Amino acid sequence: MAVINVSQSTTEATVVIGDAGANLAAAANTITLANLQDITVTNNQGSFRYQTLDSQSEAVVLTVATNSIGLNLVVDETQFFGDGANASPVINKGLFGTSNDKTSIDFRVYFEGTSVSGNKYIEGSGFITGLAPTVNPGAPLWVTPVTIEVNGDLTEGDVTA
Amino acid sequence: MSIRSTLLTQLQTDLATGNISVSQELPYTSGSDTLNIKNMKVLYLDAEETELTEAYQFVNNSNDIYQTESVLNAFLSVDAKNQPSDLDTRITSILNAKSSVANVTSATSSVTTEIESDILTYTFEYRFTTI
Repeated sequence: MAVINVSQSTTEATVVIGDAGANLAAAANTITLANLQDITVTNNQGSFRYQTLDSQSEAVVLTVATNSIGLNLVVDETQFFGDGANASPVINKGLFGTSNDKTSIDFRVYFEGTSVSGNKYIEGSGFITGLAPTVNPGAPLWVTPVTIEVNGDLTEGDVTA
Repeated sequence: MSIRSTLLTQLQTDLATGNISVSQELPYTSGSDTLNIKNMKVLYLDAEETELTEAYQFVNNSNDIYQTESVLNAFLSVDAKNQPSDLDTRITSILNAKSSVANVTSATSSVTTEIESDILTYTFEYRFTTI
């Protein structure tokens, strides 16, 4: 049993997005998001509550889950607008183009870096949404939230370094 | 060009005419008095003080982004009993010289006064933030 500490150089939290069906462990069709300020993984189970005459408390059954990844990052120009040339749609279009074109992506959230075998990640498929870049004179770097609306299940995995 | 050099250039332009002038020298102490006390109606711009602080911190392996805060003080002393007629105008010019420093996130200036015996000393503070 151990806490997950992301403050060391080999265990930093990392988010990779890639073309749908791409090998997320390879760089060819993926973007490792830069300048991440925070990451939130949401696995919110739906529920149905019901009351029965023979009980003083409600019962509950779970329905389907709503899964999403939320993060904030300082905008990197190439990652946000794409390089405009790569064969990979995600690299070509960047976060904005991928969101704007409603392009499906695969993603992987590494809880403690990508370099140590056995460390955990969560992956899935979804769509980029929730972009809201903002800047002001006191904080002159563009910052944006990013939401990945997950399409289907989240899957747990182990890093193979 | 350093912030001090840029400010000095602007101040020399702004104070080229009138009763207040500007010196290239730092406001060091000569004998028992600082230069601005010894040479009244001359503005002395001090050396730059710099502080580097973390502006953006990241959870992944991106390099943190730092901001640089630079502070410069300038000193001007005048005879409290016989102030230069254009003093107010010159003080405004000295404060506005902050705008000559380009490529900064924020540029502010302020002035405080202190009277000792019959000498009125203005202490200007320029503060610049760069990311």
